[in-house]
Amino acid sequence: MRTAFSKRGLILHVFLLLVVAGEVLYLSSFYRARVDVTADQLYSFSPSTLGILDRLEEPIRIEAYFSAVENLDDAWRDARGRINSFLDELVRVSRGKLTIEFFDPGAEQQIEDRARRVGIQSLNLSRVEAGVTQVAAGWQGLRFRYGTKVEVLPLIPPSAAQPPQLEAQITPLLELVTTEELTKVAFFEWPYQPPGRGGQRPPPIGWAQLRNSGYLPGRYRWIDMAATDGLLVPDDVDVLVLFCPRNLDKRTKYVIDQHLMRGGTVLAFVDAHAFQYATTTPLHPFTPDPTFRFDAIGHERGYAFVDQMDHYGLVIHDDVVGEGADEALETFEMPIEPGRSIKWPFPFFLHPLHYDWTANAEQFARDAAGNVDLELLERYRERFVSGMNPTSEFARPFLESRVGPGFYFPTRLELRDPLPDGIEAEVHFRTTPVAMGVPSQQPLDWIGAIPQRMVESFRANRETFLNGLRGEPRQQHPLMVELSGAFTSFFADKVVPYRPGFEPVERGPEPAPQDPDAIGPAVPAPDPGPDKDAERPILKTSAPGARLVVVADADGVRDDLISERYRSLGGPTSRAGLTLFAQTLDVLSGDRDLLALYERFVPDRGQSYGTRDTANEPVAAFERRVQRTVWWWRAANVVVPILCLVVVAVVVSVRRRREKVRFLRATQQLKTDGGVA
Amino acid sequence: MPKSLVVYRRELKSYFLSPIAYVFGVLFLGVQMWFSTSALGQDQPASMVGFFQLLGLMLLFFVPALTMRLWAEERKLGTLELLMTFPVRAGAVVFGKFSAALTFLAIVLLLTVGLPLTLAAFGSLDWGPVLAAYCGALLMAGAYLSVGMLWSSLTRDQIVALLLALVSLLGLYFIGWPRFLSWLDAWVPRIVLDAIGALSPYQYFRSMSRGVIDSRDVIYYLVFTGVFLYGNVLVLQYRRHKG
Repeated sequence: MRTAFSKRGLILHVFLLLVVAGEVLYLSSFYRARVDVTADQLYSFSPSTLGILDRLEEPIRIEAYFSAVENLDDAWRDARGRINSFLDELVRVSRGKLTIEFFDPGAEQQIEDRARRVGIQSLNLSRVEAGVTQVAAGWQGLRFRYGTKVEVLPLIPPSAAQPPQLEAQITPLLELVTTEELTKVAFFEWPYQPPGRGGQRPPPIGWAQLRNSGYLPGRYRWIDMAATDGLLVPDDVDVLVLFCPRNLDKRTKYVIDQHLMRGGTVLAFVDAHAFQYATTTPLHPFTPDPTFRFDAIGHERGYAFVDQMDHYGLVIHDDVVGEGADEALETFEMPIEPGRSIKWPFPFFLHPLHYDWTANAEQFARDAAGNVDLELLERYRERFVSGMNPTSEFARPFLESRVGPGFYFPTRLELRDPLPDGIEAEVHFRTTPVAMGVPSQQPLDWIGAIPQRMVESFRANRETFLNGLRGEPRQQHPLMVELSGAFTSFFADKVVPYRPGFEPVERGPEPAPQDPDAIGPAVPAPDPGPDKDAERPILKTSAPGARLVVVADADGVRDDLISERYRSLGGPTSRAGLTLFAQTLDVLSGDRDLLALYERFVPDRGQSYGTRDTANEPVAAFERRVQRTVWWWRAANVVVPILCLVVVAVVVSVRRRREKVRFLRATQQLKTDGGVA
Repeated sequence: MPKSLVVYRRELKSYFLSPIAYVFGVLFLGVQMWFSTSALGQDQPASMVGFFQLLGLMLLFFVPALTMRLWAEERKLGTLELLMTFPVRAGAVVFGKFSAALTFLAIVLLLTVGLPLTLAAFGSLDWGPVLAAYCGALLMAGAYLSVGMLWSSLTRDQIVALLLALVSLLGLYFIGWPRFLSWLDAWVPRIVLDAIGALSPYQYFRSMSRGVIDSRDVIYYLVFTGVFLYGNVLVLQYRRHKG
């Protein structure tokens, strides 16, 4: 049946169609389903992020200070696309609790001034357009506002703009800005007192800057236990940090012990020694300070700090660990005279390496004659492990680069063998097997005072060290140890050092006043209860969750090393000390979800077309072999699909030709038969 | 058998009997794979991102070549009028032709699967984004096919159909281009800018190529394709009505 079809009807049809299509598209923006099919769930938000957004009571405003895309180069433009997608998705999952406003600092001076004022940073980007180099400021920072709280992500460079990296940067800031209550961390610190000069005493060098670095002050509230006059650590504090414990009195040791017994965590950065921080030039910062000791002068026998640690399962030796493997050394540049400095591979400035040392077990098991001691080889294969525990949350930030944080004059630690009952130990960082301890009180000034002889002096000392190392058995020394389980109190069988005047008093009921005229037995007075000002009695066994984490170095997290002030005076600069400290604190504070964010990185999906036989194949030959393989595969990927099509074309063509020939023959036959007929 | 299936089978067979399809396939595969195989290399990431980035542009230029003859040739040869006299609805014919063209494109895309297989053999390829991107590529190809078919139905000349399809697809591509949008930002309100940007197929493929399948993107392509195919149906019905 023919239907009427007019131009008017057609236009109406089209109009209605477009309206309906537009509506469908509009609605699909609001009611969406999304599936992340990547193997690593790269584009899905972590439970930490979703949890923060769920908990929001009022909206978060994000101010995005982004340069116009046309002013960016390709890398920044790609990154901007990913950042915009990430932010779009963040807004979507927040269900209206998160809004974003975009500002272009390049568009108006007022916006640029404001961006700088609030802490957004820019980078100068140069690009070539029509043969002319153009330089423009690249802005790509975020400001988070929640109520009166503000946090800033100053700049997101393209290298940090993959989704997992974006989440690892943005989610901690979301948490910071939305968290009212900071996590409390107690600490004791013993700042290093450098020697005075000319009657003036320089300020002590401690860990205040460390505690106030990065995001730490926004997440943690620090409680200085030294100011509490001997109080026990408050019950709402989980972590107690000891920065370079020294001159500890009995009471302080008791506070530490009881915090552990309460089920808390003790994090100790220990040094069995200190080296003089000289302010004269030329500098010799490697002379041990003979006044440094763990225990207070006149400490009572049986209450030594090292004994306390030994009681828990950790032996602290009075040694400094030195590395013989060059790749594990921190080199530092020391000025020896104005305008001239030398780089020293100093064995006592080291870092752990993420490397499977069993691969070198055979090399270590060879004697001077080159023969392999099989028993030793077996032992080394059993005992040697990577310098960084790959399952350790503390080591996580360092695993990808395979280089751990710096340790400076690390103290030799050892796990007690056997460990106390109920105690488990985990070693997070270790030296290489080519390391040994040397007594801490021996001079370690390898360069001497005479600039012209510094190099010679260093070489001679290094040779002595390496000779000593050759005679030592190969072993990996722990650099960071964690003990957990059921601790017993160090003071269980000792006199408990309660605060004077606050000893717990056991009171029975007061006897009733005697009334001479009373008839019958005396009625006892009610029990007055415990003295509320008295300290609780000693806890002799630990509650679940008790942990003791010991780092074999306090210098690596010291303010002057982290700020590089020590370096300007000839000392080293801390490698990743702040990262180690922040990561350790985050792990111990227990925000597992937030920590898991840092584990989410774009995995390495590199291609490999061959492995090099390092013993028999030169690098150039290997590269040629690989290039040939790649070339063949490239050629195959171009030629094979085309060949497939060509083959199909040929087959089809041949078949059609045959059909045509058959048809023509049949037709010819018909003609012939018809003609005959 | 449904009538659209009859049309589908006939059209698909005609692709394999026609030299044009083979030339199309060889050229498409040659260019696409030549540039995409630079993704193979020692220590390079096993990723098909470059392949799919190029594929978007390749489809934009090659699909009009596939669609230009679909209706224009039939009109020129006079077979369209014959087809319109058959007891078959315009929608069935349109859908049959569209499906056949899409199937042919799918077969050509299938021939590129050697590249992800090579990457998987020598690297750790994440197959999720690859499969999602292939699906996205088919959806995008379907959208382009529907545009090309509409233009082909509006003209007798194949070259005109090719050019019109090419220009319109390029226009749709560029209205989603970030540089164009940021230039336009100075002239139009934000809401209009967002609406213009939302029309472009360019951006909807990107999230799929990364491995995120969003219902908004799938609906966009289905609606886009549906609108142009329906337009195609309207054109045929109008011609049939005109006699």
